[in-house]
Amino acid sequence: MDLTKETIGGKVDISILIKEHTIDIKDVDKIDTFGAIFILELLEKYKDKKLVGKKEHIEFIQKVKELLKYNDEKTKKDTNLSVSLTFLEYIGILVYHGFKNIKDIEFESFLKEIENSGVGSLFILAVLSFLVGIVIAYQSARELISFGANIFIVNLIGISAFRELGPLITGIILAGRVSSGYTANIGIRNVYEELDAVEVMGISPYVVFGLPRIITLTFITPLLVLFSSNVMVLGGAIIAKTYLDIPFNMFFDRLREVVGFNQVFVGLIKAPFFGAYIGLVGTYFGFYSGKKPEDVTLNVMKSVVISISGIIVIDALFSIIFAKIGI
Amino acid sequence: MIEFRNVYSSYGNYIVHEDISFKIEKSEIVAIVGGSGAGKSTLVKLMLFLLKPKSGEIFFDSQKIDYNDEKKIQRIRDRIGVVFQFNALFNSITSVENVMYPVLKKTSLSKDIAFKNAVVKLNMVGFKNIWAYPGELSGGMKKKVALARALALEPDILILDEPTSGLDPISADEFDSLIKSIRDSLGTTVVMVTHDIASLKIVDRVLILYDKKLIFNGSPSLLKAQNHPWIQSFINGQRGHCYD
Ligand SMILES: Nc1ncnc2c1ncn2[C@@H]1O[C@H](COP(=O)(O)OP(=O)(O)OP(=O)(O)O)[C@@H](O)[C@H]1O
Ligand SMILES: [Mg+2]
Repeated sequence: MDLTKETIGGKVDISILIKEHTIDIKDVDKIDTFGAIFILELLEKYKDKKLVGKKEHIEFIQKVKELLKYNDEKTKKDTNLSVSLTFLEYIGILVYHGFKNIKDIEFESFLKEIENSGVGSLFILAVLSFLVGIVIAYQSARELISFGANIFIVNLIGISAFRELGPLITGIILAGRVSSGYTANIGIRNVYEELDAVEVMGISPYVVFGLPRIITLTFITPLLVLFSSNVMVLGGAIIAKTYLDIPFNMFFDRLREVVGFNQVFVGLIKAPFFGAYIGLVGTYFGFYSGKKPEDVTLNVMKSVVISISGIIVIDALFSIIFAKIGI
Repeated sequence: MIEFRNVYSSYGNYIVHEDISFKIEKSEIVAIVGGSGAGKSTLVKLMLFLLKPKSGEIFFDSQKIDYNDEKKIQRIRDRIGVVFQFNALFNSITSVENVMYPVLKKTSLSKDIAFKNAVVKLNMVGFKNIWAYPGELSGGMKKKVALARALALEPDILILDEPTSGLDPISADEFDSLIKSIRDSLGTTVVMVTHDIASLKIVDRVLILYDKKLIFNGSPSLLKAQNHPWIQSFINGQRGHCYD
């Protein structure tokens, strides 16, 4: 009989090993660590019985017994060596490093970010904005028809797209797509000690991996918002034509009348704040994730959640401000 | 135990090995030596069947490997314990859980037995800090945990890719003795890739790879008599002098 990982675990009939005064493994041919652990558990259970068997097996079990000691204290070290900074301190550090190392900021990194975060987001932004435009217009069209107020579809879709929905959809998409990407990218560099390597070279990681992203995002978000609002209106125009018989030229003439500078301004003024906020959150959680891969996983999640909720909060704050000053 | 017959291997068009033949016997400790990029890690991948040779045959226990027979290949792999060049520990679980992992995945044994086995294996390699996460360990400690994990299922063969690189000479010596004592007590066959000439004192045989070919296959004591320039500089270079 063998006492190995293949045979123990319910598969051996242990009763034949247990004799009146002994645990008898004389007939065992082969024993491995698992078998030894098994016998040690039996001895623990039948404290009054003595182990008998081949000398080398008994010695082996004795050796395993000695190796079974371990320290039960889970002295949990705090592994997160990076000081956890508050968000405001992080902004301070960015500004400080930015001014100190302004020469290290590479022009190309801006172009790369425009491509990654801006151009890269265009497709999904177009699809979602278009669909939102269609859904909103379609839902309102049915109501408007019953009042005979078809033409007001332009007011409805135009104002909501430029003021609210364009910026919001853009913010949410950037928060999901770009913020998580920044956190993952910087966090992984942290895990692989790339940030340390850059710092040792005398280059600030904040300047190389942080600032260009935040600055770029601040500047391209207004453009993306404008793009999103326009695509959304286009979706609305298509519904207006198919369901409400409003031709395109009439739709866009009316759009020019009802959506004035104020409406576009309200949407656009929020955009840089959204962009800066998303960039800050994404990079912050990247720089201040720990050195373990799962810290990065956790921080990517945090960064998306905090970006999206923050966008909605900022949007609400702007609404209050605009209501107060009356635009 | 393992035999290569006229094995050629490549990554795409880039040829790594040409006409490699050798045999590794049971309970032998065999070192694979060669310069950086000589194809040592690739040889390890071939032994684990992670890579298929371009031509030639690999035998395991005198049976030819059939790369279509996945079940058979897995059965063979289950008998092999590996320490990869870069450890490949799971960072999200503790050291002891890393060692429990293969037992829980591969057998129906209880968590309790898997834990005790992990403790035994970690003690065997002299590692105490069992609750630490791999991220909290030094390079040498990680190697020990990786070795304990490789030993978890009591493998017949242990394959180690540069187990002592990154260790200080004293820890490296300890590690070598550990490998030798594992072989002596459990009869494990050991294949270890190494750059470390000092490790050759525990091995029975050395295979040297150079320029895609196997240029030496024999006892380390015969190395001195070799004329090949690479072998000469390997043993007589600054770093080789410790092996006198
Ligand atoms: N996945 C891969 N794809 C393409 N080429 C590879 C791959 N892995 C290795 N190579 C190439 O194959 C050759 C052998 O690599 P291998 O990793 O086996 O070397 P090594 O002897 O283990 O080196 P080292 O001592 O640096 O670990 C190298 O030239 C390497 O560039
Ligand atoms: Mg290698």
